Amino acid sequence: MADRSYLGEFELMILLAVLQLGEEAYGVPIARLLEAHRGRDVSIGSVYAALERMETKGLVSSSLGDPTPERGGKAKRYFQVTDAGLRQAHETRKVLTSLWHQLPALKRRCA
Amino acid sequence: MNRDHPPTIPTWILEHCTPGGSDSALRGDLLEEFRGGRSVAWYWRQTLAVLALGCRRAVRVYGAALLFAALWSMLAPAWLHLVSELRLRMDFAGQMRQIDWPWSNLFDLSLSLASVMFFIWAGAVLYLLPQLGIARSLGLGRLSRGFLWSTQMFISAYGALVLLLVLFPTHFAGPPTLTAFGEITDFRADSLVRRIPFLLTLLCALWPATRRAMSGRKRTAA
Repeated sequence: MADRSYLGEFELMILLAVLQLGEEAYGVPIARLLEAHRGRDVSIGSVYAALERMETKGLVSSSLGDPTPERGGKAKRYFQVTDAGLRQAHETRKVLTSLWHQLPALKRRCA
Repeated sequence: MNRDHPPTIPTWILEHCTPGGSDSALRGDLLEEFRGGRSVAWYWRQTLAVLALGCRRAVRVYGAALLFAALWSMLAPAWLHLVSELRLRMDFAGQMRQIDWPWSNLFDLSLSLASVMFFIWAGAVLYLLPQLGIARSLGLGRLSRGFLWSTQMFISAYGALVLLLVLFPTHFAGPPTLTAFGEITDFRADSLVRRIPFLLTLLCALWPATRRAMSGRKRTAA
């Protein structure tokens, strides 16, 4: 069961990447997509650590594919966003959007 | 450079030196990327990042368990003090005299052990409460086994402590503390040594949960 805490920046990025990649969401493409958008190297280990945290919270689920020789006989772990994860992403976006919309008012007040 | 075989040392580190072990899918991802054209330096950086993340998690998981066990065992002498006061008030010794030997001694020993284990298990339950997910994933059977193992651990550790006190009585003899609060704030050598069986037993009871917290998703990957 997911708790009501909001997603961190990196977790939200990963969740969106998993959503975007759909059925091809495993470590390598997730990290590549994040690298392309962030413009810097992404540690696959930190991607896995964040995914593991989110899996514990019930925001993503994972399943193993078949082992392949080009990966040294190691299977790919595919990730899917759960309904709770989708809700959490929407909730976080709503809060962030709302906060961003407050910024012009804040600037006027400071001026 | 051989694209089929990644550098040996970081691969060995990934497989053997990552605290809690590394996910085989993660190792596969690194290999796939390396064979796809990533550099040796990139492979090293990724390996060191995995190692650093593993170490950070180990410090968090084991450190939290160790800190909790140390703090909880600091309260142990106060608990024993309260139990012995209760026994005095209930004239426990008088009631024991009405029971034949050896049942009186056996009953006394069992009750003492039960009160100690109650204290330790209460600590374990308190520690596990915020980690209900981990406790649930362990199942009642493994948790109960952990708790039973902890009883054996306490008996062994307490036996070793008694032996130590018998062999070196002058090192650990001190005037008794009269209040439960006095017991908590008593940091003399004998008082600290008496807390060791509690510390070890609590760590033993928490061991399955800390191991599960460390292994994380890899239980399903195996």
